[in-house]
Amino acid sequence: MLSHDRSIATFRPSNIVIWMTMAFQGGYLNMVALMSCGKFVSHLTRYATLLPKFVVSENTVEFSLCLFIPAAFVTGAIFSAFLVDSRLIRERSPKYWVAFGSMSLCLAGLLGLGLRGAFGTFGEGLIEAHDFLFLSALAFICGLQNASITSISGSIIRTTHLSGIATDLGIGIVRLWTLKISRPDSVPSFIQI
Amino acid sequence: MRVGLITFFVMGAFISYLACERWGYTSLSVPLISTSLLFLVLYLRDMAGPKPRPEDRN
Repeated sequence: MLSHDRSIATFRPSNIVIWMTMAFQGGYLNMVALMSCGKFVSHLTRYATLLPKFVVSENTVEFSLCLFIPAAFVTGAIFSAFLVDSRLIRERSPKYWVAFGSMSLCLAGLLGLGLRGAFGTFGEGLIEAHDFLFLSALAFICGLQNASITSISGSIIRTTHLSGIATDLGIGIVRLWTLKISRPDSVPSFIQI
Repeated sequence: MRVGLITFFVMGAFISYLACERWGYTSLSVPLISTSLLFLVLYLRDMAGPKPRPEDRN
């Protein structure tokens, strides 16, 4: 299912280029959101942590953001699941290109609308409803991207946030060291860590 | 590989910071170009691959 030639889940140079490009894009989009509205779009832990604070302080703008951003991210993940994960379960070829095409369309739309002034001045912060739309669209793209890469890699690779990767890196370093001592014949290559 | 992912993530954030400071919304053209190229590559790869036979679908 995942091992045929068209899969982007295997450790091949062309696939590694795709994963690295997506990681690059994850960092890039998060910074765009931060620079334009002063908010993150893929750091959902932040919103989950701050939600109670905004409920107590009755800050409706920030409270709405704590709901909008995660909702948009999850919607992107759901959309991706229909195109990739659901098809993998039914043993059909996943539509990676539709997922990536949708991301391109969203980015083109944001770029076009941004240049026409639909989102106000870049860097003005979170002021109006159109800023919510801009951030939600970026969160949707991040969710779509992250879910696509997560599905095809068997939850090994995440490209929009680093907590999971950093955890896996720590475990991988110790695993590599342990295998080198106890079972030198079965040590994985460093590229897999 | 994970070191690579972290490095590329940070690199993306760094380049994005520079691009946003200089170009504003135009900086979105960088991920647009990279995603469009990947879309094209994956589309061509999908089209070039073997088509499933009707009996495989059942």
